[in-house]
Amino acid sequence: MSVLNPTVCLQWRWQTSLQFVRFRKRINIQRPAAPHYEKAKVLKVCKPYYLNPREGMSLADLCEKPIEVQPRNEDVENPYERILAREVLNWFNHSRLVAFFHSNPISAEDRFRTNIMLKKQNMYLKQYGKKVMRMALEDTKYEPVLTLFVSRNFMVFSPELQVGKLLKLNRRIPQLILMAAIVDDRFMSVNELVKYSNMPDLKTAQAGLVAVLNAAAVQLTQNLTHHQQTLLGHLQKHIELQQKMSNEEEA
Amino acid sequence: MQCCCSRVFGKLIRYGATPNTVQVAGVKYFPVPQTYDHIEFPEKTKLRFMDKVPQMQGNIRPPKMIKNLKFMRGPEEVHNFLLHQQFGIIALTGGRMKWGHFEMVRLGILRKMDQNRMFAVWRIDGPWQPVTKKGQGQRMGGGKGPIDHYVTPVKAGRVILELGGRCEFIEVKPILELVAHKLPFAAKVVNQQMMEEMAKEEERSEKENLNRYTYKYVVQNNLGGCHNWMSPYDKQWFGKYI
Repeated sequence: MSVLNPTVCLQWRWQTSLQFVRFRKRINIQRPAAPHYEKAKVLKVCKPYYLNPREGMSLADLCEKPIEVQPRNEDVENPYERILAREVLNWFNHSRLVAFFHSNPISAEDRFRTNIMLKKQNMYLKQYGKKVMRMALEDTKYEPVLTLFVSRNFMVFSPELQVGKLLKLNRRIPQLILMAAIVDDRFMSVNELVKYSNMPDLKTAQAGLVAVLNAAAVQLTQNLTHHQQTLLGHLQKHIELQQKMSNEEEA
Repeated sequence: MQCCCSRVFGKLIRYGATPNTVQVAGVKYFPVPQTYDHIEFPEKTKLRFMDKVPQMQGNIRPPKMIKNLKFMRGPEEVHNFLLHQQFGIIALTGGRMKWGHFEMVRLGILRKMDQNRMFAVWRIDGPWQPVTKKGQGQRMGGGKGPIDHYVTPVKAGRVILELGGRCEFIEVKPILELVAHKLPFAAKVVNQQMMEEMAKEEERSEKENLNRYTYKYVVQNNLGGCHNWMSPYDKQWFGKYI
């Protein structure tokens, strides 16, 4: 065909040529060869470097981990603490007397004896941690009590009101130091408790009040009838004496 | 009751005050035990036996192969993540596993693992690549030597085997480490979390590198005429793998 058509010429084609390239190295995967000088130079230049976060820190922060970075365990919520908090609030709501003690180191035996002493008076000794107390009393009417919870604390709950007994027992337990108490929803210090214990009961107080109210009138009548009263007294004594003498004469 | 020292200690020392530790006891925390309900066990819980010689179909003479070092070179792109997302062994460099290594791994794991709670699966094939060897003292020439043994080539980043089940990393790690140290290449015991962390760390180190001139940059811009002496694999993997 090409012979008949003289205008056809050889077509342009891409000349593919194979060039064998041989690399010097057969690699050893387990023991890689040290890089060539040129490559080593490039690797050294291309070595990565990063910002040092500890630069410019004070010696104290360098030697010890800063507090902000230390791991905190308190984020874990403990359901048992919730249960205890509920229990604490229950105790607060159902007792007329809640006493707060600071606890010096106390042996288990002494603590046991204290427990017995208190139980006999229908008082219950309890100890809870700061975290549980905060959980229980935050946002309730008992929140001011939380200020007492520094170092170790004990609490005594009682459904009855026996402040005098409490103060006596406080004297008998040297390791527990009474700080304050809640008496019928009233937060009192130790001095106020002592005053409270020395107060008479309601009937006596009422009688006293009545006496005070009548005091002016009574004083007035006394002043007016003073001389008549003394005369009466003397006369009565005189009659008694005379009767005595007559009896003796008869006898 | 747990006891812990107050953190006041460190702060007071810093301000030159005398240290005053207040020992505080908290309420013990009983964490909810972990459930393993989401874990699916495979049919066979033990590592299967790997043949020393691969089974040939028909009456074919077992073929000899060239060395194919490329099967060990470079990163593993496909089998580089944990299928069961629990625990496994990862190859950090390339290498070849012989039948002896397979048996070592299989028996080592079988002896140590609790077969009621745990399962183990292979993530590599049995030995398939023939390795020829001429007899000792033989001179060069006379054709290619006969097949001596079979191996499995492994690339860097390949998962060798996976262990899983109702178990924690703490108890699985010593079992796998015993085996990982004896493999013919550098290997690491990992769990899913560690894999994610490694990936993140790689990303971070690339991003936070303050050196503008990385090997990759040099290669891509042919700085200093490095293409003249560089291997084609450097151009592909930017100096990360041999």
